[in-house]
Amino acid sequence: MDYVLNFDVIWRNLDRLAYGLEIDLYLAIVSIFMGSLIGLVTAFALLSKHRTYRVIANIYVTIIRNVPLLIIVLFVYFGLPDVGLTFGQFESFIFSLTIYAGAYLSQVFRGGILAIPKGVSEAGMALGMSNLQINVFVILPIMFKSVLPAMSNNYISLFKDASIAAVLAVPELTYQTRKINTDTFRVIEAWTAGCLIYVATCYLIALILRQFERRLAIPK
Amino acid sequence: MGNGGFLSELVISRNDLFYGFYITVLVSLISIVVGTILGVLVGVVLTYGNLPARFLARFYTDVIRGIPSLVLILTFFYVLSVIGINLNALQAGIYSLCIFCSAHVAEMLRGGLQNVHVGQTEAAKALGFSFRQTFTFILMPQALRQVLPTWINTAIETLKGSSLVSIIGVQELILSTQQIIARNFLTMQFYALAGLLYFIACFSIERFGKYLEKKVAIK
Amino acid sequence: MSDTVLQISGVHKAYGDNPVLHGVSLTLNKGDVVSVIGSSGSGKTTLLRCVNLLEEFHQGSISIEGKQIGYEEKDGKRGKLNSRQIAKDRALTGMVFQSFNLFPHLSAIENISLPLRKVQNKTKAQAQEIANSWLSRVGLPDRGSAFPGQLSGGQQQRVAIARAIAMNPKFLLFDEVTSALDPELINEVLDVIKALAQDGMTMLIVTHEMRFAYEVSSRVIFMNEGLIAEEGTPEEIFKNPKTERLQAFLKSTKF
Repeated sequence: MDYVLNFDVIWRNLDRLAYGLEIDLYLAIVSIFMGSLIGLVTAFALLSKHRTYRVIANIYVTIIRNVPLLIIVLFVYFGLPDVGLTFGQFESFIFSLTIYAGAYLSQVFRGGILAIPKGVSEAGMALGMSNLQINVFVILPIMFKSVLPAMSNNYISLFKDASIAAVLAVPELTYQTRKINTDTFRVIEAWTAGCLIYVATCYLIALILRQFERRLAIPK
Repeated sequence: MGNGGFLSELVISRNDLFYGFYITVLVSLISIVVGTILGVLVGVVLTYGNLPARFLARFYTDVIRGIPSLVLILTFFYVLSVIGINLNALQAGIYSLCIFCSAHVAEMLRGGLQNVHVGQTEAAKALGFSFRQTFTFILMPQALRQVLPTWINTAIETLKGSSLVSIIGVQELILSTQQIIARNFLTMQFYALAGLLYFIACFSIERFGKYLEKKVAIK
Repeated sequence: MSDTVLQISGVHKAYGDNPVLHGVSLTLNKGDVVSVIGSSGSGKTTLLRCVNLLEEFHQGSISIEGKQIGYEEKDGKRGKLNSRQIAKDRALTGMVFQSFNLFPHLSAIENISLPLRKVQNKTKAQAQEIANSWLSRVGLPDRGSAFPGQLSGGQQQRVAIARAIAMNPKFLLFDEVTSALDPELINEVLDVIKALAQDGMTMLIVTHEMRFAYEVSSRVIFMNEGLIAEEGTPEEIFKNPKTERLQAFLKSTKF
């Protein structure tokens, strides 16, 4: 094997990689934010007294969680135009990742809500609070603090899933890495750099989220 | 281009679909089995190894789990051929999915083993069990039962991850679907069909998992 | 003519900078039933766990039937024995834990027979027979196929006793074995221990149950702050405590 490592290529293309990472973070943050909202609503629907809500939520979650993200992405971007729904690559991917995130996060939130002892909401009812008030001022805050670890795990997974946007030629990190690979033939350097950036970013995100956990933890 | 067209196209393309689905299942199965075995080994080192071994195992699991599956697959595909290891796309895909699965199994096994109550090890020690005996008869049976749901999840994620090897040209379900769509332009229908097939596969694993959980549950 | 089963000499132990045992010496002869009482933090559980090497100790020696366990003197330096030897030494003793520590994935009978087969290399038939006989002796002859999760606390602890004693140890160690039990279930366990004592089993018992210690022991030891503060017959210890500490302790336990 005659291959001389030359990381110059990486330093020269650092801006493209940084841009790719920026796109990834943007995709992830937007999808995670909207996905969290959908996940929250879905979680309440899953636990609702009304059977209709439960059934719809269950169908949504079961289908999305048992189908690869890639299929959802391809279906939304290439398939939906058949019925007149055309998106650009960016919007299409965010839409797909949001739906995907919502299904997964609904499980986390559902677990968090179930873990709250019944007595807590009963106390709220005894004090005369309405269901909505109990949910917003009692259930939600407690739930947020207890689901932070599981949520963090999911957030990091979703950030990694943003790499699939490369399939739609969205210029995120994976796409950039592959481009550098094919442009410069510096295979090892390109993919080492790409992998390194992903690992470092995931590590940093985990660190930051853990700080949040510590700050927001219910004092014991 | 309506449902009539879809059904006849479905019949025409059934062989390609079957083959694609077969490759998907094959790739997933191999990756899950080999990945689990490898993951158990790494997991044991991660939990009980000496400091340098644990460090290496930790490095391995943290790096692999910090890389998206797609990047892992692409890296394997491109880098290995350059350093002289010539793998075809199918092999590269399977290897990368094995490694993906193993990193997750290692981490979950570590958690499971460390979750076994310390009293279990003490009782085993008090009875004169060697470490190997304690591990085999007392720790692993309990840890494995505990991580079963998580392992089923990882198996499902590996199956879903196999969809990404279509990008390096492996003739699995998604690539076959895309080729069929290129012929008949029934994009939405056939992607939905592929989704349905994945759903059936994943859901089966989930059901199997529930059955296993019941079967091995500690009374 | 030494039927000294256990000899503890000048054992010191510290957790980091925190000393827990300050030089404890104790002799256990065949048939002795010695209870160790004292407040929490007195070191009694730590002492017990040093005997079967679940804890390390830094000074002193522990010998079972004359043979030193856990450590050896080599060229004047004290070294830990290898793990195989330690496992063998552990098999000479039996321990019953406060939280039972039964193996939840095995039935009651399997809990008892597995160590017999794997540590003592008994055949399946032999192990089964021994296990069944001890299960009967602790009063659970027809509960062999039950799993720990299906048994009450008292039943679990009795299985734990059977498991320890089926291995035919030189003596038994009891670490506050009734402290985790509901009050109604304590007596069934204490009765089993009393029966074993009457059959001549050598035992070292750490306990909070003062009346039980008074009734079952041949000797009682009161530990305080890592040392043996008083030692004597149950009469002496419970009816005529000499030291202030012991008097205060007995007062607090309302014996």
